[in-house]
Amino acid sequence: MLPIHILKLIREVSVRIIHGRNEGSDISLTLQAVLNDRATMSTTNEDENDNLDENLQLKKQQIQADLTESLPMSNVEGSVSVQRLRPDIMDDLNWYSNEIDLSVKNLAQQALAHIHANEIILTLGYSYTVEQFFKYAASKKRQFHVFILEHAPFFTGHKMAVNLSQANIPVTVVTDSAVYAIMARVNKILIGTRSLLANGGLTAKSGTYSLALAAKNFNVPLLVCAPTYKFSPTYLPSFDPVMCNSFPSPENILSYQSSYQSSLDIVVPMHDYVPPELVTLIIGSGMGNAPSYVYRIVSELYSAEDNDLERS
Amino acid sequence: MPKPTNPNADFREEERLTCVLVLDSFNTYINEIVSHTSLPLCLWPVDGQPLLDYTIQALIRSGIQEIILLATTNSAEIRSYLMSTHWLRTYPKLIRTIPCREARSLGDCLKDLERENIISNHFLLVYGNGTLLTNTQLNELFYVHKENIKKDKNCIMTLVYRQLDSNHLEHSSFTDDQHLCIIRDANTHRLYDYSKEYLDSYEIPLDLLEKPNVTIETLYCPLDCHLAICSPDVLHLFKDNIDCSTINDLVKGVLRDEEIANHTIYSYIYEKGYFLSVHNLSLYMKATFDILRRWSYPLVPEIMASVPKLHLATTTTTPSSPQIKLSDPCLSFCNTNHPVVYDKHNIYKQGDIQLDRLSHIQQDVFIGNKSQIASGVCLRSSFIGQNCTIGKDTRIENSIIWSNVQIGENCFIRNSIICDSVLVRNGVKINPECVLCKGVIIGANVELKERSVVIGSTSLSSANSIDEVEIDDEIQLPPTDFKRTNSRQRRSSTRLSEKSFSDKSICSSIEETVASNSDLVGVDGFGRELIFSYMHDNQPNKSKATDDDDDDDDDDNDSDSQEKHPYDAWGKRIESQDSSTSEVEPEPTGRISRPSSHLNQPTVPAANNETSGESGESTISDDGSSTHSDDEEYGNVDEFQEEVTRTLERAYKQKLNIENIVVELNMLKPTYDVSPTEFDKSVTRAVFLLPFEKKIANLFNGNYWNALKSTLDQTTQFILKNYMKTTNEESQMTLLTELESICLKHVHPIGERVVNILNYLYDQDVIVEESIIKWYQLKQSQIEKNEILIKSDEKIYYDKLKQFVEWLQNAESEDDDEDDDD
Repeated sequence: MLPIHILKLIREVSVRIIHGRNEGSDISLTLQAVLNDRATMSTTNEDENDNLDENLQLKKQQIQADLTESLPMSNVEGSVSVQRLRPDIMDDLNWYSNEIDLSVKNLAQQALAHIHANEIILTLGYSYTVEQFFKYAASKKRQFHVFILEHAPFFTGHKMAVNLSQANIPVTVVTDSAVYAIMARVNKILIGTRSLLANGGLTAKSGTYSLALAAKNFNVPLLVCAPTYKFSPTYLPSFDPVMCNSFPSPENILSYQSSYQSSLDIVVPMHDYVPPELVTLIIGSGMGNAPSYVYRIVSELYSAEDNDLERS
Repeated sequence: MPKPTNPNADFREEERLTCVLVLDSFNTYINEIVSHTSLPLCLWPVDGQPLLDYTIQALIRSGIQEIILLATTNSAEIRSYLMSTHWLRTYPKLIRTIPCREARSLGDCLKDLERENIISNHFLLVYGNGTLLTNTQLNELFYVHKENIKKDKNCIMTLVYRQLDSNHLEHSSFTDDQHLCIIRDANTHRLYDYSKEYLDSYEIPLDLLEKPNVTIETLYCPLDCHLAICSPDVLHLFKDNIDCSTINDLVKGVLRDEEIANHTIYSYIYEKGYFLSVHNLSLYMKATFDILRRWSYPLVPEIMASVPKLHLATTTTTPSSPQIKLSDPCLSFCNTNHPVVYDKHNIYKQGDIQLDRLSHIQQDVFIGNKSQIASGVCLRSSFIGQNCTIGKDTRIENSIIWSNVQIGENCFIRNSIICDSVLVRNGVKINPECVLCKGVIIGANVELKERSVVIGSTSLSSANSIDEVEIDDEIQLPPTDFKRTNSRQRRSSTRLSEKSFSDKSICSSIEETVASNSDLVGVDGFGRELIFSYMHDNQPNKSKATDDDDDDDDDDNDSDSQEKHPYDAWGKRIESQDSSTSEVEPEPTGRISRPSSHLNQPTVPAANNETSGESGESTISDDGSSTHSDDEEYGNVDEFQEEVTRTLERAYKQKLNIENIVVELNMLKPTYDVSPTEFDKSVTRAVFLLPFEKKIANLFNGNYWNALKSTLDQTTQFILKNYMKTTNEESQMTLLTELESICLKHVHPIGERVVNILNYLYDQDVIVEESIIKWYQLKQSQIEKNEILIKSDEKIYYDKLKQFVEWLQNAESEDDDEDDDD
């Protein structure tokens, strides 16, 4: 049955995402393979997406784009059934992408409750959700100042600074290393996250852990913007920082030179794990929640059989 | 619908992005070694996946929709590999293989491709063994190329480089590109000059600097990605120019003849991103370690391994497809579906491995499925394949070990490659850059010296099996052996040392210099050394009768174009030096000697004559001859001369366009296979003997000077200018020498007119003053030494010549005086 295979694929992909082994273009390849393989068996496209892992929705958008572009190549054996499947899949994907947009929009509307007048707010790197959050507050004439950690070595903070300054929000870009020095001046920290684990911990951009520790030391509240689709049913199996992390090319730090000796070890982690006790509040699509409450939300959002994605 | 993640949206409507991979390095040294392993180089495992998979993955990431594989001798293996992979199933139309079994060079392969007639658009050409590891999206190159074409419709090719810092010079793996120097326009990135040879000094042609609106930029040592975006015309060029066997030849040809053929080449330089083209063993090792150190992210083992290989689950759906090699253990490494776990310090563990608690895995290590590592083992920067066993207290550094290898205790292995099913007994020491091919057994307590290549059984998949005999350690032989003059004598032979003692004694009785097999791999070992040798004429006599047949086979295989590859398997340049055995020392004066003595001269620099410095001579002549063989092998010069004369005559009579004539002459060059120097001479002779041709002579009633002047005016002076550029001293000398020989031969009509001729050429800027004076001085010194005997009837010529040169010198000094006065 096709839905089962698509479900299986989605599980596989999400496992790879969680373990930092994902690379965008694989998805279209995989989906296409499934479609090719199962072309003969396909019957109808049931509402297989309904009990989906919400963590995947962003990825689904990508599938959507990839699927449309890769279809012309796959019309050998499965052309008929792929053509038949396509409108249904498209409908579902559109629906999900709308829901994602809506989820961020709902979240942003709580901005006035969290951002008060003349506050200094610190954030780290670029996050679409956080950007919308700030922009909503600014659009309601709330005056505040944003400090942005630049998020080396990827420097997504620069993009964030440019985007916010275009909305006439006063912005200061700060190097990552100055996080402790600047913490005393900050009223509040507002960050995005890659995903929110079931225990309330975060896998967020690298540098978030040191940010959270500094915040704890100065008792600055750490608020996390997490729309519904960021909630994940999994826990981290261990505190090993290598798990759930990606290590991209060292070229981000040092330019490539063949003269480097093997004794030179360059480590570029993409993510940090932040334990729940360092998080003050999680701003979801509906309302703010304490990290200790996340497991309840997850159990409401997910079917019990999705709790272990690696189970086949 | 918005397609933000689709960078190729524009292309998709108009064309399929095509990439052509040429899966052969055309380096005999490597192919020799590769033939003793079970896999072609492009399928060698790099961190658990075949190289080709990395390339294909990189291309798919770039949005390439069609991959054409040009496979040479290894096409059977490649095809059967592809059959067993998921690529063909997930992308049914993506990959197609074109076997080019006969191909001896890149040019041959592309000719085959042209014959297939499937390329109608711009295509990416990956020519360094068809393997390109990159994490950059290559599709933007198509935009770049199209932009270039938009600006300059003659652009046929855009070469891709990666800018590197200059301090990588010492690194062995870049030897191929070590001295790459390109000169290009800083704004348009149009390529003007290109040199891969090592030169002490590099001359930039002056006319380049004088071009308007051109800002010249030189780039030294960019990394050659072995990647080019070509227009379909490139295939036609390869077809039309038979002597183009590599991209290098083509680029040089196009740049040199730029003004006539009207083709241009552009360059594109990446500032960042990882690029590596694996076409020798150093680069293979480098690729392995770079990937382990994650430079190529996202092409790293754990992501590559997580690309689902659905064919394993669903192989039954296509029973018709021949699953030949699936059972083959040597390809089994790429059929495993075991997940790879990434750990701190770049340690990768695949599937189930047995790792002793006391083993010391330092960093940058990949351990394959089902491998066993005993206690006390120290691993560092190494790749261990599947099903390997490594004994106690063994140290392995910077090495690559394929599948099913057993390594004993207390071994020490550095910078080496160990292929499938090798057994290394206890206490073995393997020094850097050794290669142990399939099935070798290394006996206990043996030490392998650097750069040994040990091969195993004689039953090889490859056709060119090589047998018997060799001189010990040919790599160390004096470089004379690599002289092109001895091109036919290259042979690679090996010596099989049997385990049985009697066999060994027989072998050594035949040739004393041969290192015995037991010496190499120990009494309880098995294997023989693969040695590349270049032998002198007299040396084959020493080889014994029994191996003559084999040697002949080898010669047949090897004496063709491939053997001149200037790099060995590790990418080291095979240096050429003069030695006592070469017949004639190349002298500077040799260049301007007469044709009669020409045959005795070593090869005259061909393509490099514009850049040749005196000091770099030996290396240059070496390189130049890599594209042109000896003078003896050139075609019939007389016929060529005849043809040139005919062409010029016709051109004069019909008042043809100069450019057309030049094109025509260039076409003649490959047809008659003449050397560039010979070409220059022939043209000169043709120009000055043209007035003797009947039709022209009749026009001027046999008046030589009038006829010559008329032809020069109308046609031939431009021809001379085109070929004998005033900036090129050497061709100027050729011109003058040739003119002299004509004058001496025909003293009556020509020799007595030498003043007029020289004066005319000087006035028209065909010859510059310095060249005349330099040439004359050289002449004088020869006369003084009585090297040239002046016959009585030639006296008039010398008198006239002297008269002219004196006038010239006086005129010059007068000029100087005037300048001084001013």
